Amino acid sequence: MNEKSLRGVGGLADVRETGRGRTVSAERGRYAALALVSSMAAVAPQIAHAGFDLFGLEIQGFIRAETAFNLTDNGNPNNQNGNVFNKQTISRDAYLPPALTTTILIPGANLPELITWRDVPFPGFQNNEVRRGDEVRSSHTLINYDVLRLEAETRYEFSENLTLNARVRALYDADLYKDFDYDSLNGIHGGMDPAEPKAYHGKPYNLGNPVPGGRNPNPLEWSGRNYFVDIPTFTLGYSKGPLNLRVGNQSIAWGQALFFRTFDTPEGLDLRRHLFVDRALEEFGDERNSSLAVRLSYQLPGDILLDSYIAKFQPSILPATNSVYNVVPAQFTIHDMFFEGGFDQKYSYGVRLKADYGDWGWQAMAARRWNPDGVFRWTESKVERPFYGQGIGQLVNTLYAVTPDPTCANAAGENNAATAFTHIGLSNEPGGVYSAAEYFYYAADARLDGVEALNHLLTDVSSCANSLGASPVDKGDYVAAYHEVDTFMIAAGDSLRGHIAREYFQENVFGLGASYVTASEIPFFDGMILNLETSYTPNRTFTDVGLASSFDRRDEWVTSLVADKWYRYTDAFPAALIIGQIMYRTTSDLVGRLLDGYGGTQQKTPGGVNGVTYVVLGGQQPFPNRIFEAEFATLIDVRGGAFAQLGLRWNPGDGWHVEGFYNGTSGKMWGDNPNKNLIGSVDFIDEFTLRIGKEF
Amino acid sequence: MFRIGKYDFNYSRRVFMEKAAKGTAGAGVLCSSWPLIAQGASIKKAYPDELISIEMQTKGKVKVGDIISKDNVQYVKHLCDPFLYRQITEQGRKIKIRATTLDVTEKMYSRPFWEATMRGQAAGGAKFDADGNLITVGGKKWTGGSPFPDPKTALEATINLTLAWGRADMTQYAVRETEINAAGDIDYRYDFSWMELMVQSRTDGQVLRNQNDLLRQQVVWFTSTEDVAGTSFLSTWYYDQRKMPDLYGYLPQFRRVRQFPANQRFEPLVPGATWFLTDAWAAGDPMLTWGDYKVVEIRPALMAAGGNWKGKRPNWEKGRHGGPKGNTFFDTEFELAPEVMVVEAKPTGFPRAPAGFKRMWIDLRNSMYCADIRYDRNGKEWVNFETGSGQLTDGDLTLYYEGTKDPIWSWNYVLSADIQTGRMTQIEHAEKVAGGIKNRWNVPAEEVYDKYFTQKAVASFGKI
Repeated sequence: MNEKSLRGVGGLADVRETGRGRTVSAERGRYAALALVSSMAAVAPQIAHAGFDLFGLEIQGFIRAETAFNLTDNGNPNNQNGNVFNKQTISRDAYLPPALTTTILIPGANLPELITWRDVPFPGFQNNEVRRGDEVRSSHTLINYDVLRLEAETRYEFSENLTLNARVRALYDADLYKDFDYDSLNGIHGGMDPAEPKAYHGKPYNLGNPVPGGRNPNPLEWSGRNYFVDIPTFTLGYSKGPLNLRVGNQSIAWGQALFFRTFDTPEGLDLRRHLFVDRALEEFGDERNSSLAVRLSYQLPGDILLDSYIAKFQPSILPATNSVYNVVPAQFTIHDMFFEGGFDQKYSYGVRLKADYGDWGWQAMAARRWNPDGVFRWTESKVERPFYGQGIGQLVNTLYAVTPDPTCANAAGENNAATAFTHIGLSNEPGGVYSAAEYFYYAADARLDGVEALNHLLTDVSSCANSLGASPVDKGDYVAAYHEVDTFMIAAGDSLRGHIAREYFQENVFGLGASYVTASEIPFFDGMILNLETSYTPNRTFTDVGLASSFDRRDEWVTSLVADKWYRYTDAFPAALIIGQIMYRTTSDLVGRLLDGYGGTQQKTPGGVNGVTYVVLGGQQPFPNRIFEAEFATLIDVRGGAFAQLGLRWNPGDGWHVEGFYNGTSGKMWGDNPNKNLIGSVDFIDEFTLRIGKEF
Repeated sequence: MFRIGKYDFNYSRRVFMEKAAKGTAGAGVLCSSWPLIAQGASIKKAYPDELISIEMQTKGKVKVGDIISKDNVQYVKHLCDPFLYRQITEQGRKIKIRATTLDVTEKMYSRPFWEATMRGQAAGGAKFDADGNLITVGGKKWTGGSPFPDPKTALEATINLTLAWGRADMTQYAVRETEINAAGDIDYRYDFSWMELMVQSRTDGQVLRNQNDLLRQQVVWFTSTEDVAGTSFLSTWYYDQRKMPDLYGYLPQFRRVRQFPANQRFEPLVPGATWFLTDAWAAGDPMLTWGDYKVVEIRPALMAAGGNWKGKRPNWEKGRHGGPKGNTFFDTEFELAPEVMVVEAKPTGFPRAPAGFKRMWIDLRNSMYCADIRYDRNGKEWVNFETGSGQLTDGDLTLYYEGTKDPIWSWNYVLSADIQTGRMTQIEHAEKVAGGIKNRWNVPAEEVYDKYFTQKAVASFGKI
């Protein structure tokens, strides 16, 4: 494919939801062609095949166009433009706040509430209708992912013992998506407040990672909305005898599995590019973080390999809000405390021992690390805006002005409903939650307990929410909670955004593992490589299902069994790699969410699940001479969700590589509640990815 | 000036047939050749002229220095392995004829390996124990050199290949591999380092690190192209030839060392490759994991047994010719080998192997093979792992082992031809390849063991 052959493919069409449905299919081909043009134009020039010399350094690398075509009309529900409530008209009912009878009227009296949120409808504010889509337009992307990637690496031996390794990775994102743009809300109460973090303005940071209080968390990364450059490897290696020492930016991988990371504790994942749905057999090769580290390995007597590290803490990176693969509902603003909490000064360290004796092997691991997943809690919004709603909103603003809470003033000493808002985990901005129905839907989707989250919002951050008339409801009382949330949505006159802080905690992880290579007269069971790994983390800190600031601390066991088998089905083809894996986790899911938050619905408190089991089946079937390689990978949550990838890799020669793979997810393969399994959280992925690369 | 032939042309053929059938006599037609080799003498006395002179063999049709092409291959057809003949007649391959090497001791062995061989023979030589493993006549593990320099059976000839691949205690080769498709287009190019470290059967008679159960460590480490750079495999061979080697691999996209099943020996390591681990040195698997060994025939044949190191050319690169684009074959030299044992074996230890059997064409002068033909399960010819070997001498240029005046003996090239797909893998022994890889021989083990032959080392090859 070259530039000339793709000229004249036409312009972009604005494809948005209309009352008469979408007009997407006619544009799909145009987008596909354009995406490839944007990517491959730079690839087309012929490149020297076997690298080149630069100041005496041998440079090798590749350029690759990576494009994922969306095959579904469903948008990502975590994004503004894919929110499932955009198309729904919701009726809301306001109720008289119980606090109106106590806190607001007689502040400080600490009287018992005379009514509850179930009791007294607010006259004139029943059946109040709202349609989210009136403010936030839905749109549909035909391209999920479209980047041009350049990677180059070199190795230089200063001496027999001293070696420099370096790798540079650069990506450009043509941004052909139908992104949501926060600037489109500027006409609604001023749009997003300037106090909001950088990521919540304008279009998504597809490749950037703006964290308040500092530059990119990784010192060797330079990135923006649509570009990304980093040096994932820059190490000086010293090797002498049994000693091997690597100092510098590097990625450290322990363990041996698809999707599972039982032993893979040193690094977090960078999910901002293609989430976890890149070529599965690469085993997070592109996603695993790198960090400034010192890694020391030593070959001990008895064929025992000691592998140890100390590394600067680097948290996992989540996809940006409103980016195609975003996994955190965009009604939340995340305040990442990496810099402000001083976590950029933290270090993790660990040691692993590994030995193999013929068919048997064992390993043991201990790490003292900062959990890169991070945990979330409600936090102050810092957005100074009052209620905008006519009637109730004005009433609360007025009542608060009469009896302000002295703890809710701003730095200038002003104290009103707007300043009170800065001290609670909500902000009155567009693009938030518009109804109780939306709130509880997304709480369940995020594996949270919506009622408990409401209560902790009101009690944990400050007293200001209570001073504005809010009050906790009984655990599991969805009726009262619906009334309260709807009342405040009506008072807001728009929507309320939630504000959560992301923090990090230190933990000890211990692991034991064993491996065995089977011997059997039955060919299929002969030469099967089994790896059993288990890890134990005492007192691990989790995000509380109610987003409590006290978090939730529990012990966790993770156990996985991995079986690899190379098997020849036919003389005509090389052996196929078949991978079977099973993992059991006692406390949290694969991404670290407490299992207590599983099973909720818009109307029901999550009942939690007792442990979780994942099954992975994967494999690769090379064709003769490995010119083609067919691949597949599945991740199954036994409670009803499945991710499947089916791909073909073509090595046409002359340094070219073509890879195509389909990704599909279903949160309801069986069972009636997608919130009971992991995959329900990403049940918006249905795409075909094409990667065309040229080595140099 | 040729000697007057004492016997007719069919005499040698009858002798070879008899030896192949009985499996008791050593090399030589007129007399045993081994005593001559052991004394450092020419093997001329052991063979009639037609077995050591191409001109006599072809009744003057072919002379030393001639180029064999499809125009004159009919004169040497009976000396060609089936692949060589077909390549010449159908694909435009040409080979240059060189004189038969008669000074086997000095030209076809390396000095250290030769001396170890002689020590072993002086101590009584070798035999197989009840398990089929090689031991000295005193019942100990073999101490180095060729255990059967005058092989009489298929197993004796095979163990010579299996036990001492590179015929040195430590080797590091800079290797450039080129994959050519049936249309003659170059599909892939790879650079890699192939390293061997003998643990036992060393020329110094030592057992490395007291690892009495091991035979060797071997590493293959790709340095180019970018897609495969860092891909490496560490193979630990046991002395017990019934046991599969342990195999650990580092795949750069995984960023970690993974264990691989040891019986994973019939798969291409990289896209386009026609060779498998099982093909290495015609003895890529432990000897007793194959079975049904037999001598198919003993015969004269054309072998690439010298003259194929192009040390004066940049990066030792050979010229190319033939095939659809004039680049499928290396320019190579072949000589008439007087006595070649064709040994057949079946992969009895690999029930799912795609190969039905293989035939190794082993030159009985030094027990080195040239053709190694893999047949599929239907008995059809599949791949020939043709290997040229010899001392690193190019005219007046010779490479010596460090600190000596002993010429280095090595493999020079491999042409791995897949006759079923028409693909050709050219494997060239280069002076230097990507990653700064150069050739080394017999570097002391303590300098290289930890750096190259451990799991830790394999992981460090990755550039990530």
